[in-house]
Amino acid sequence: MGLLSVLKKQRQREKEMRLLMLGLDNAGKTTILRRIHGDPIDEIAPTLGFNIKTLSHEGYSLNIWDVGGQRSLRSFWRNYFESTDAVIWVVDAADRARLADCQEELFVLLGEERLIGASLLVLANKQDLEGAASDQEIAKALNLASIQSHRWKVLGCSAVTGEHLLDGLDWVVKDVAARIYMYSE
Amino acid sequence: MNGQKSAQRADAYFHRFQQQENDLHQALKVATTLEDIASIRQQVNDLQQRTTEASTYLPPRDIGQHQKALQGLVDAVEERRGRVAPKKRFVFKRSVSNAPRTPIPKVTEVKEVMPIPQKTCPIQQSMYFNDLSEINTLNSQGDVALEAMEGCIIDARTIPLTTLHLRRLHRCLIIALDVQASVMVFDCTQCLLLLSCQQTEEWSRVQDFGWLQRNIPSPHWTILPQEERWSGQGIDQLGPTADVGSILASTLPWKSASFS
Repeated sequence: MGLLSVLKKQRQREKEMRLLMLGLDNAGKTTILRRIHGDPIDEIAPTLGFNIKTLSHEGYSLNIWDVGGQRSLRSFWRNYFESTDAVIWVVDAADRARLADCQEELFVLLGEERLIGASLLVLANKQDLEGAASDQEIAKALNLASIQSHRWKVLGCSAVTGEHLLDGLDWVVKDVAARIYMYSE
Repeated sequence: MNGQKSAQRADAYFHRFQQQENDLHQALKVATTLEDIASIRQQVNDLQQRTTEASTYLPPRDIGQHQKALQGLVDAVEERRGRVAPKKRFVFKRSVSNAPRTPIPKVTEVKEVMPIPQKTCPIQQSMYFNDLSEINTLNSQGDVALEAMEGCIIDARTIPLTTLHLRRLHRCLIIALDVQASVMVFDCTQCLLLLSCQQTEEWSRVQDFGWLQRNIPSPHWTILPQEERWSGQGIDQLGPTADVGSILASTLPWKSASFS
């Protein structure tokens, strides 16, 4: 039995996944985290450090890390990359003026060595707001079609109404599980 | 056998990478337009992509070096972009000009005074707007960006907006009472902003990203005591003849009146 299969067996027993939630400031990362965890979302201030929540979903234990997205904090993102199974990239779909910025940050992230192999879920948040860009518009603006290094999916969602948040988690869990757990011999 | 082949491929990639890195740095040195820079940025992205793909056979040490070099390229691109022109922003139609602009200084905290380079940037001075059709709106969704203005009054209290971006404003009065999503304010000095947007409920809990000490309050912001707050008196009489200077002098706290 090789080391890889030992590691896989180990993780299989734990049934744990580590999800890293990133995106520009004011994208709604913390609101999404609190919404899926069932916490109140009416008093959320910009995230200075990070938040972490553990929740179980489809028999897996998900550790979700939500790291502040202010420009001054983005250089700290790298501290959270280690053993990340999936990246949830949250986009403020109502803020069209910063989509170019958003794309640049995303592609820098995708070039990270330690994130190779992680699944990528792009959430086009704030669909409850009039004028928000749709999932397809976001896919185009971020040029997701050009991504070959990661398996990805884009979903329109709303942290306020809860729309599509669980669908997103479903996809992440399925995609990561298929990669890590099913392939073990 | 396989290992030897990998080593050869890694070696070849290393040289190819270095060549491309050099080329991009050279190209950057002579880039003079935003389009040039955008195309170089694209090439950096491509190189990053190829490096990611090559990482299946590259030794970790090479991957580390390539990542470092790529980061250097990204930084160099940004630096060059800042030098060629500030990030493309939407400005007033009337102020569109090809005059060279200075880069937007990056600040992480609100400073009391930041001089605006008057000679080099097209500044809209002392104007009154209550009709945003005169303004180059970002898109049909109701996003508006205002940049490089001085002594202006923008009265958008009845205009529904989705997002509002304010950048490099000096001594301006901005009224926007119907913003659905967010208001982003960058590099604005001595301005009076009357705002209502999705997230103002947390207005009094300021997270100062330029001040991480918990036990000492940030020197960058304070909440005015109730009695010093402006009642909004006279706001209904705003018009083209309104004097923004006297409005600011009577509403802004501290020494604002002595600045000009």
